[in-house]
Amino acid sequence: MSFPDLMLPLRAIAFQALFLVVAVAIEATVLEREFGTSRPGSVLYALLINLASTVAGWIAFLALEPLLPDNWRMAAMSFVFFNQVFGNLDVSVVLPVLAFVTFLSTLFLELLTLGLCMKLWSPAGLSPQLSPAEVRYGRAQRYRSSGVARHRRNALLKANGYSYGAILLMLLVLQRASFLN
Amino acid sequence: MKALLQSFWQSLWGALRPASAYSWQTALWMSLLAWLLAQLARSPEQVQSPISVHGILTSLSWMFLILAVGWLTLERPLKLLGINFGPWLTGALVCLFLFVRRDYSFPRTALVTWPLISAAIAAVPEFIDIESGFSIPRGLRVRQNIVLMLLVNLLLTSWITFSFRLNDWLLRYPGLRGEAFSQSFFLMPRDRDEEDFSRGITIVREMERQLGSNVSGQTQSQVERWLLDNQTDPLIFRDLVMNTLAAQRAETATGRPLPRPKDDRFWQLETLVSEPAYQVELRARWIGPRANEAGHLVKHTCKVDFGSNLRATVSCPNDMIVITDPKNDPIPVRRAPALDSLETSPTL
Repeated sequence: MSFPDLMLPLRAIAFQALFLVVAVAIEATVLEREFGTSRPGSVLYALLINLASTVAGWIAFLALEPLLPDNWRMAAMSFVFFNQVFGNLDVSVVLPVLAFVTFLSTLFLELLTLGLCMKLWSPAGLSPQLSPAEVRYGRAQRYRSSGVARHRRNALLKANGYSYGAILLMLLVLQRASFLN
Repeated sequence: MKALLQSFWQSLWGALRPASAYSWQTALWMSLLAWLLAQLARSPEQVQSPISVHGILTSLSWMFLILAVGWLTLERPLKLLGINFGPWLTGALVCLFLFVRRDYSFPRTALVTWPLISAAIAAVPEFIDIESGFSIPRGLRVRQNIVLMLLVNLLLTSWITFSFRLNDWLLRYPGLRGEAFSQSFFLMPRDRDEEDFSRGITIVREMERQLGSNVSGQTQSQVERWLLDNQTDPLIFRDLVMNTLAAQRAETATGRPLPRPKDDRFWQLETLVSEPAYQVELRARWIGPRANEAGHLVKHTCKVDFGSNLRATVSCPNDMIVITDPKNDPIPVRRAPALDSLETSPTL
């Protein structure tokens, strides 16, 4: 057993932590305004959904990487080690598509996580509580809950839009900044 | 002095004396006892299998130690910044016990599972009920904390796995190590040493050997023919060099043979010939994923002389040179890397 020069992705870890903090701060604000949750509660939910989608992204990447075609892996390695494009992949197509897919799957995963959280505990105040009178009328309840789902979806869309925008901006600035070189 | 020792002993004994039959101190003493017994049961001739008396006693000793540490950190949490790190200590012991042994060791598995096992250990007390034994925690805060802790530890596991993946890439494509990582958003920049250029150096050394064995003792026209062939068909020459290297690797590998590097096709082998009377420059250029347009380059200049008998002799008096960047100064290679220099790379 030897660790001669095990490379640690310290920059990646630092950046990911930073982006998580930014995303949580932004999304917690949006959740607080949209759902009227308490501030600690909004931060907790923002943290939970962002962590869940981040972890899912890692698991997907780590599981799929061995299956990638060679030129895709080269492109990934080139990006990771050198922040460069490599090979004949058309970046102007691949990058927007990848960003869009990531955004959509993040949104989907966060909705899923939020739904799971609702199941795991009753989330005092995150969705408007139904009064017993409303529960009695099945149709009204269904209408109401579909409204809740739509509201939840739109709120998350908004929250993610803001946080993705902020992170994209930070990435662009970092990409331009010369202090890394 | 005596008083000092006495008071030290008293406080030590006070801390380690079992307060009751059910206490972490008891577990610690049991662990120590099992370890002592295991030492007595050790027999040097016998194969150390986990089913021997020694193996069983050692395992028991580990389990009691884990129990003791887990119990202790539950009673007196190791708080730092409001977080209890006790479960991670217990988790580290569990991982060491499960995956790191003298005869078969999986430090990689141990590291990857450490956060998950620790999270499980941290969650266990919440699931234990004094009366019914097992219960799903009812409190909202408790549930939220368990989920949060699980997610954070999954993220840690992802980072650790990703680190190993990075190092696997560097092992499979050793030429990557010769490039600068200063632009990376993932890694810290580091200084490269000869070890990092060892792949290119090994290739050029093999080119040199091929030159020596194919050219020495030949006539001038045969030498010219060989050099011309290499220039017109560099890919054939590359295949020859790479296959020879792979065969050498397989031969010299001690123990578990390492997989063959996959970066063969990312090396461009060049043979430049110039007057006077054959200066042969052997070059290996990295054309795989790289930091700059021109990848790093290892080169060695050799001289082919024809003596009085008109037969070729090869000599390479100068240092081998590494060029990392056209802007930077070339780096002379001082020492010969061992053939198995790649074997020292991380192989967890």
